[in-house]
Amino acid sequence: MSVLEEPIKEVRTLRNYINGEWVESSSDVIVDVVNPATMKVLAKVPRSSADDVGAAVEAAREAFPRWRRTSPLARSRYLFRLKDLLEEEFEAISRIGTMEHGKTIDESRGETRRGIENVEVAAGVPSLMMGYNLEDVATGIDEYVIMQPLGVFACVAPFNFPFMVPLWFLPYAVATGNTYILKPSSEVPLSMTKLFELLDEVGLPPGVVNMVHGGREVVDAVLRHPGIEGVSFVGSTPVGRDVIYKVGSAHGKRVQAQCGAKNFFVVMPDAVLDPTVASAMTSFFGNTGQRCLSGANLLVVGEDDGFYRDVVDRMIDASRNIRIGYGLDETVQMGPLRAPEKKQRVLGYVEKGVEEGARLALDGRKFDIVGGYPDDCFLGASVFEDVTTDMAIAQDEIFGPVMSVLRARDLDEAIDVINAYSFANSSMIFTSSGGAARQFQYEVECGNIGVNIGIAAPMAFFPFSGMKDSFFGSLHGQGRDAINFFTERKVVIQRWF
Amino acid sequence: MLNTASAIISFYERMEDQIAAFYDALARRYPTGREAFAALSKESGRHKEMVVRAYREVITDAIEAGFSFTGLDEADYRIDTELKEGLSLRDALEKALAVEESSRRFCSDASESSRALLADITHAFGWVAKRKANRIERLKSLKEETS
Repeated sequence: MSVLEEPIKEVRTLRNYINGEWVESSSDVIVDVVNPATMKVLAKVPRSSADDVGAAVEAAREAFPRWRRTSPLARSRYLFRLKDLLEEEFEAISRIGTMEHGKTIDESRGETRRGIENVEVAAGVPSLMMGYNLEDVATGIDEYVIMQPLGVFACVAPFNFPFMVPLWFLPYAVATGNTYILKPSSEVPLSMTKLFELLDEVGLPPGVVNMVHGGREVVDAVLRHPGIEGVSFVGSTPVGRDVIYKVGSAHGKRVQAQCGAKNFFVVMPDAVLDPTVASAMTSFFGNTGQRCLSGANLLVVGEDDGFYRDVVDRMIDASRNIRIGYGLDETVQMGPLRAPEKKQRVLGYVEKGVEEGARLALDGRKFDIVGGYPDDCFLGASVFEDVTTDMAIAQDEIFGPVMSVLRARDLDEAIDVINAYSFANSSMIFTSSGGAARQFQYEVECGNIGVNIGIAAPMAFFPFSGMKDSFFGSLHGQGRDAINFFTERKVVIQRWF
Repeated sequence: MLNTASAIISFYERMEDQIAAFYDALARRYPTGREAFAALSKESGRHKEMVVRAYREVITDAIEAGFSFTGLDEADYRIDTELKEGLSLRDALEKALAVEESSRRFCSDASESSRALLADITHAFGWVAKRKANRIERLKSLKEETS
């Protein structure tokens, strides 16, 4: 089977999108965007400056008064148009995602679909943005709530879902009448460049959406700029907690920071093992383990050694057979990590696991690459047994294809183990017991629960949740939470003489 | 090797395109069955759209698209749509029956092998497999009429 055609044919230097125009960054610092499977340069992206952010804020602030007066229905129609264009470009967007990130084409298409679903949900803004009222709160006095936009919002996006994550926020911000500035990850700016080309085609008024490429200088400028009302962030816990949430809040902004994870995948003795193993492969090794909903710790419940062995042997067999290669090859099941330094980081954890005394039952350092691509970013799936919760491989977010296997006597102990963690993004249970599932859902302290679901990724009309060290803020991305994040509730109490 | 949802769908798309082109060619060559062949070609397009939409519209980053198919071998489902000069209508219909049976078997196997994890794709392939069975009956009737 051949490799699908690459939609990016030439290397170009990307530009910012400000006030409805493609403009060059004021910075002359340019970095390469590299395909992690082929190691070929795909584009060059500027490290924009605070001045570029200032220009985007100015454009967005100028556009805001008129945009907020545009009716919600008219705003939603821009999104319907965008949805049409996204469907037309579905395959190109997905292939770009694979080229810049490395994920498989199935995964990229899944990501594209998730992004489009957020546009669809946000297009329901005439209903979602309705307030509420009560007649006669006192005799002859009525009271009602109006949801109003606030101004300029910004997003600092991560590298692992270059297309989907910005769409957890941008469509809702724009639909509710705000204007927007996006900073894509400079590692993977091409999906968003494509999105902004489509946004340009949609014909939004200048300044409603803006994109500034760059790194830390752009982030700092966004966090400190007085003209920005709020910031959405997805990334690691140290950055989300100590930089984005702290600095953003100190500068009076609304902040939603969706952060790191160390998710448990619990297998009960009554689990249906064939689909459980298939789900585990997607959970632990999908997106090459680079997602905040990935399984990280496999927790096998029960004291039956035979059951434990059966589960783990099946996991090892399936992991060993994963086809690794360029994601545009349709037979490939796991792509590369996003960058060589990310691979080195994961390798460091594999070595640490061995040093700490865990047993490396499957060594991901030995692997074959379908198609003979350079191995700079590729890594096989690793499975560790005899892992204890005090080990770094059980505690830290590795963000790579590593499964750490732990055991628990019973469900109560499994829940205690999970709740002792500071990360609380997602936990999954595989069981045939409704009672066990309910206890798990009820008692586990984390934002997203999967019952026989390996990746508990909320659909666009639900919030993408997260708790404890996995989320900082009060309102999440997606759905009604996003609508509330991007609006203020104004209360009017009224009587007439 | 057809081991991922993408590989399965691509293979199916190519197969259905080949089948549609085959019926278009039959419609051009055999006036007796022109309407029936044209209808079969059109249906092939609809079947393809049904399956591709089921894939494109329900796929998410979270489902087990890369690990749901236990591995079908495309060699097991190859179809021969070559129309040699002078082929009789009866022989062409025989060929069409073989093509339909092979594609029905593929759809049925794809449906079965993804049953646990990809419900919508399973359903779409199952639906097309049933339609293919109907097409086989229609072709058999056509063959009887021509004899």
